[in-house]
Amino acid sequence: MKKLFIVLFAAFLIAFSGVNAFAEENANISDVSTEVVSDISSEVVSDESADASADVSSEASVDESLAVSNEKSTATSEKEEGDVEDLDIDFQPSRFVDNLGKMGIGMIGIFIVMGVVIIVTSILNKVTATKK
Amino acid sequence: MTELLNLFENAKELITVDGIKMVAMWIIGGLLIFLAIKKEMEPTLLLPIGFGAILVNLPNSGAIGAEGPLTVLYEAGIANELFPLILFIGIGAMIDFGPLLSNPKLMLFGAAAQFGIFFTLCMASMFFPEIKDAASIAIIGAADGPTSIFVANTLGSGYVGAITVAAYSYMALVPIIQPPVIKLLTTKKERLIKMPYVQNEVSKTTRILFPIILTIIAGIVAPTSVALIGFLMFGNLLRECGVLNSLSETAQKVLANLITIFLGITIASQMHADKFLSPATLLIMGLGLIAFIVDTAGGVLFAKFLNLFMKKKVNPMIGAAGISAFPMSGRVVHKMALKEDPQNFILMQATGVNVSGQIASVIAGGLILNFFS
Repeated sequence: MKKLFIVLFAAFLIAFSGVNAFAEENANISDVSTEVVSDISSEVVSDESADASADVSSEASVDESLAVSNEKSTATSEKEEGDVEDLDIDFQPSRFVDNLGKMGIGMIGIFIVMGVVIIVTSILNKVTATKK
Repeated sequence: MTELLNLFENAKELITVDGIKMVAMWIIGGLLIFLAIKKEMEPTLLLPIGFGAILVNLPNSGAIGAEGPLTVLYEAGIANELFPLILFIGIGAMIDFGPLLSNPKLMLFGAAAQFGIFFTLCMASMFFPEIKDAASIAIIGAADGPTSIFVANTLGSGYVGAITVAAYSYMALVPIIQPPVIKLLTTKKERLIKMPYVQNEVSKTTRILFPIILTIIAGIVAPTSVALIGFLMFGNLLRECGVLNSLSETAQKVLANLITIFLGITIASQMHADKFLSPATLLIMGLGLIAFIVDTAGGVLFAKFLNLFMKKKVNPMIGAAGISAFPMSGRVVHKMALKEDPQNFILMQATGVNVSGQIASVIAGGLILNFFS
């Protein structure tokens, strides 16, 4: 019966996490479409300003359009990162290996501390033992 | 008529997506209450947590918010880690270190059984970019509620609610989680190894000096854990000094029960549907289970490793008792030994290892705080 309740508990969590993820995805789609519209309008404005300054220097206008496209790609990647942060999970298997050192140090640390405690306790037992 | 309709204004919020999530949390809270009452699984914590989950997931709940009582209690006792520390005084007063002090080498098994914490740290770091979140999730493997809450709060994790529910749920499920893991990793011959218990006298001086010395050692190694280990050992000193029996009894019963009531219902303030119902919660539950399984495996495998070098073999099952779920884990191991051979009594050794697991888990918590705070 206990196993059944574990399974039911897990099933509830899965089901309602799914509801939550679905709701978040719908919210994100509307956010993205709003941002795309604003990106396009800002690009139109920046293009117009690039055209206006074309007489000054053609190289400068190329640089500006490059800067606009770079900004757009940065904004897109930032949006992607924001999506990941919203979901709280960012799967990177390499981090397992990166933290193996901490695992080793942690276990060695515990054994050293417990080893010291064992030695001190053994000495205490010997020193305070009632003589027969 | 308008006033009557206004009475049910809040009910409209239940037919939104947020409302459905709230209803889901009612079901989860109800499930925790059911498990606490019907199945008697850690009722002291699961019942207040379950009820609190319902309280905070009502539309415009007055229990939370800036002036809500649960928020006030949270700021007063959880955000500053006070409640878990005071509870540790009571836990320390309940623990008898005698079986451990008569055979100090058993502490090695307690140390080995904390392997699940650090293994889960590596696992959790694959999913959670913030290492403090991964460390807070890993401390579920300490199998100790106050330690989990203390470490998660100190590291500033946003998953305190899920971590606490996972820690206490799996502590209650130790009799289900551990036996299959132990059977998988041991042979019948190993489970039949007998360990005759030799009662070594432990002097009162040793019993009094032990908590003081342990606090000093752990405090030097991991200063951030001084409060954690110190309060546990203070409770034990109240018990062992022999001149404060009334304080010891108060700590064991009244104080522990009082704090448990507040702790349980206040932790539930972190179980708002927005925070709790997420893929991250499911992942935390899964990682918590991995922590407990690997803890058990670590203790058993360490015992088997030691047996390669020892003439007097130890029953490797006692390694599993190094998990800090006291006293359940020790009893589970003892029952398994009796099941294999009704004449094989390893309760005292299992209890000694179980108690050492309590110490080792607090030290592990201190090391985690040292690394990441």
